[in-house]
Amino acid sequence: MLLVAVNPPAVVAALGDGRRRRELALAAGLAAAVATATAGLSGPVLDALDVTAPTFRVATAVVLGVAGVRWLALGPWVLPGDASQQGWRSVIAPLLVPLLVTPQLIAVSTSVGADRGVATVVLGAGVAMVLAWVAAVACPRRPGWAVASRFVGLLAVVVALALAVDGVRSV
Amino acid sequence: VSVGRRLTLTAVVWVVGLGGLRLSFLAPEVCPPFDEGRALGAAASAAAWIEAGQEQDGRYLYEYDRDANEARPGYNIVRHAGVTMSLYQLAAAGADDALAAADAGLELMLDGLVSAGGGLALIDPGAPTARLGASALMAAALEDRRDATGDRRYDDELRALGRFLAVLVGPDGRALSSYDLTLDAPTPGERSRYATGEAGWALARLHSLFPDEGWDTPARAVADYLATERDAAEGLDFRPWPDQWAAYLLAELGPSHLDAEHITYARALAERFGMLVRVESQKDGWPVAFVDPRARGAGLGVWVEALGSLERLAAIDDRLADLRSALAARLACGAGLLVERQVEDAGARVFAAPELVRGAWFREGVTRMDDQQHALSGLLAAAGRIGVEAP
Repeated sequence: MLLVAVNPPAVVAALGDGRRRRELALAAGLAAAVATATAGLSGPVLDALDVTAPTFRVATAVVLGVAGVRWLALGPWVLPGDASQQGWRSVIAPLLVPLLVTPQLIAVSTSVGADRGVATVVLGAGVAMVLAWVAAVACPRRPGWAVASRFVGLLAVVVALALAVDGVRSV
Repeated sequence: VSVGRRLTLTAVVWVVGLGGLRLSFLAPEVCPPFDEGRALGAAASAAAWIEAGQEQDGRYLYEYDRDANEARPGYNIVRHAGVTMSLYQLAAAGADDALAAADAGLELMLDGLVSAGGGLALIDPGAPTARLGASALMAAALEDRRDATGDRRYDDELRALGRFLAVLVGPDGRALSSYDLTLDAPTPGERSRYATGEAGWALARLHSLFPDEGWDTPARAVADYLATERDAAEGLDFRPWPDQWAAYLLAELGPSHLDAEHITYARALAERFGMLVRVESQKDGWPVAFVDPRARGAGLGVWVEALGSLERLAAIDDRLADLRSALAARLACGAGLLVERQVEDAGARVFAAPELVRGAWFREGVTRMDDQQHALSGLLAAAGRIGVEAP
């Protein structure tokens, strides 16, 4: 679920020619840390919102579904050409926000954290971020990433539907 | 684009998105506080509404418009039986003062019994057909009366009603909902989404009262049918159809073992009723123009009745152990909503006939007697007073 929320092919495609491996590595690490912290705070957050985990699951499905439809219909977001020229500042924007720390990542981390615990989020977010970084470093210019990102977008829609059904069908 | 501007734009998108969710799917689940004492008080108040509107012949006030201060026309013998049953449930929970109104309602039903199918059936006066649901709920009412009083004077009628139910249920558990008194035969093809579960539950309770008489055979046939075939066979969409009578039936059969498919069905019912209560608890946070109004008292009461039955079942069957805490939470939430939405004395005094407003659940200014019936039964279930010995 975290893998489709991150959508590594979309991350690689978004970077285009302007990727920087060290900045991306730092941003990916920070994004994974944000996901982990979000999962750790999921209980208090749900309490503060006065919602149960199944209800949050349904809301997460909406967020993930919207992101998936967007990827599917419009393809990956492409960073502006100046994005890689900002040095370390690019770690915050645009790499961390809005590329890696997205509404769907926060929603999924909260939901999975509430349902399955922080360790699952650590693992899922870690794997997704490592995949994104490795792909961006190893083969950054492949045109297939845009197509792959749409495919992951389709998976995101499917996962979102399953998540919605699961949320609705919970006591 | 500067970093600050990019972050600002992102923040705006996030805030707008979160706001939209907060007004819809992520609206807060508001569950008023609930405790057994408040539930029993609210149940007694609902019974007082039923008694206040009861006529000399035992009929209850069927439907009432509080703004116009007028009773709406119409009556339904199935609902009459259900209301009577709920009063006996309250009596069985220890409120003896509900017995007089329930007995008056029972007298009307005893007068409406006719011979059918080798037993007795409850009908509307002069009706050419007998509906399964009416007889099933009358049987349930007599079973509750027996629990409440220990009085066995109506056991013959109870067994005769059971024989009629068994004839309509048939060996495969697919109940026909109507019996043609002229032809002295079941009406082919007529089924009811309510009556099958009602009949199954009444038969299961007959088995609990008279365990050596074979009532469990048709009761289990109904349970099998409901669990495995009914929704598809009767074209009910969005399975499982939320059948609180099926939940009552499963809880009644639970102590004598349920099969795997019954447990699967019970789990599905729990999920369905749990979701209904969760959504209901969110409605106060939704923009009114885009959503249905709050559920009727009968609707919410039915959900709470079902959750109460399923909680009872989960308590004795470890295959549902993982649902126990969630069921308890949802049951308390639904019951809390019922108590909060019931019209209290202060709210009733502004109307022309406060005794016909107090203790009831209104939607758009109107209440019907089954609003009070189901809410009353639900509150008793939430208080743990259904399916257990009277204190």
